[in-house]
Amino acid sequence: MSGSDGARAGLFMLAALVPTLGYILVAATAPAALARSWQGGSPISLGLLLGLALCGWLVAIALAYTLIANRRDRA
Amino acid sequence: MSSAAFVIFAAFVAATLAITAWAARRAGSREQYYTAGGSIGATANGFALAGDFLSAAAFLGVVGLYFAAGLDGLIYGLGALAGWPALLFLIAERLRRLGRFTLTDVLVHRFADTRVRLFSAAANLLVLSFYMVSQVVAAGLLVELVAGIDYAVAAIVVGCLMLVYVVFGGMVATTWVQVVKCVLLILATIVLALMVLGRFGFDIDAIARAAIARHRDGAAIMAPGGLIQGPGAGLSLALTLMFGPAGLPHVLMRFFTVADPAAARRSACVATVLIGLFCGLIAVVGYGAIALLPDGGARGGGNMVAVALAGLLGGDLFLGFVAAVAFATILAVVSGLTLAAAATVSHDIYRALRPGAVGERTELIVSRGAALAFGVVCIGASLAFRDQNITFLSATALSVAASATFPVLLLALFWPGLTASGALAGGVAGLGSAIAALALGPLVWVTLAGHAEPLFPYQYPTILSLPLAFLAAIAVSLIGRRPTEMPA
Repeated sequence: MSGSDGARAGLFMLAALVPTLGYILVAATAPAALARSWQGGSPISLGLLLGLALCGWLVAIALAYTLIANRRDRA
Repeated sequence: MSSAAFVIFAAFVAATLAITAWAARRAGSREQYYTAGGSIGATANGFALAGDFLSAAAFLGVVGLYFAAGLDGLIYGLGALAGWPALLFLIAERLRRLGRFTLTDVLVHRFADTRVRLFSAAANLLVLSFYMVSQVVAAGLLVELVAGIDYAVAAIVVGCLMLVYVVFGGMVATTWVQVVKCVLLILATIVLALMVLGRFGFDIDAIARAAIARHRDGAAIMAPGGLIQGPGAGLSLALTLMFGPAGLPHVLMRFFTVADPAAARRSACVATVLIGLFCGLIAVVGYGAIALLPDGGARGGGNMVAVALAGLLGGDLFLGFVAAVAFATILAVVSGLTLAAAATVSHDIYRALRPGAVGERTELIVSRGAALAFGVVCIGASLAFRDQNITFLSATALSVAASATFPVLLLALFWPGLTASGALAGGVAGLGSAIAALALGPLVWVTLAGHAEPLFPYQYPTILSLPLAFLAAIAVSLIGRRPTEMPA
């Protein structure tokens, strides 16, 4: 595995780690910020919407990393 | 047990025993027994990996957490999901490249050092034992509750079935049992989520409104609750959930069952997608349970909420299906744990302690004997630990994995400067501080020992033990490095 592969893995790792830790720390320190409705009148909170979006983000970056690495293998 | 549940469960057991009979003919060599000879496809291995992770705690426990506290269930699930990209980006390919049968192989590849091998094996056995006892206790309680079968009988039935899979079928049987279970679990969750959505005309807002109206905490179920109290507790929980899976021996061993590093990467990706899908669906199921079930929940408490919701929406047949899937979940997970423990004893410990070459046949006999012994000891322990806090047992397993195994493994894979003494120091520091902090923390010091205040404030010790393991490994490596060990 080359240095650029290691750097790419590190960047993807940060892309997974930072928003997840950020979300959990906001939930711990400022829960009221996540309790607000995401849209006027909707019972769905910003916290629920962001949490589900983060699940989607984690899956998306896992797919992106695998696609890029597969392409590298074929090249 | 309803007749539907019994028939579905019996069908699952029959199918898995048939898989074991088929696999037994392919488990003759060491490669086949430990790692299926690297013959498992990436997609099947991805399902097996996801199955290993989606234990009873993930299915029954997280739905129960949603039911009790709303959004906290999502926070817990999200932390656990985030561990999978970490495995994919940092561990999967490199581990497959360097290891052969067990996690310890990777360290042995770096350091031909018996101390490191034995410590790694001992830490792995500790993690596996805690995880295993928590799963068998959960299985016994589940079967006692759903089927009215005595706890001890249920634990022994689980143990015997698991031993048949592992002793006769090895990794081939264990993997395919896990694949079948994972497909059933995802299917059950999809159907349950669709039933909830159908009940509310596929209107998410309507589910949320009904849940808020029904829950005693009202709109607070849409906000973070009591799961995380303060930034320290939050960070510690996040580190445990994110890096614990990357230190679980039975999960990491699965990366050796595929042909090459690219397949290891693809299987980690498949597992991430499946666990992500599960996290999304379980949010619908969790809020649906709040909206539809009475506030008291279900007989058996929070852990039975998913089963009760299945009964409400799909009648006896679907309740039977979900109960059988929950039981199958435990059965498949404990099989993987037992196989990993057997491989650790025979491949890592026996070979290290026995001078001279160890024949393949002897190693396999030792491995099967170790599986039997591990199974018997853990079933015995589960009878003794029946009334213990299951959360404590699984928290201990994840914390030790994140503290003693993950830091050393990561440094061994990425840092050429790590020495054998550094690896040993990191492992000992991580393990020792994790155990000490757990013993002085709220779960043991307050709940079990009855003291008023914990000496270590957080339930999970990883905020202390993980950095300590990294620091000890790096410091000892730098201080004790001999000139011959300096990287070029």
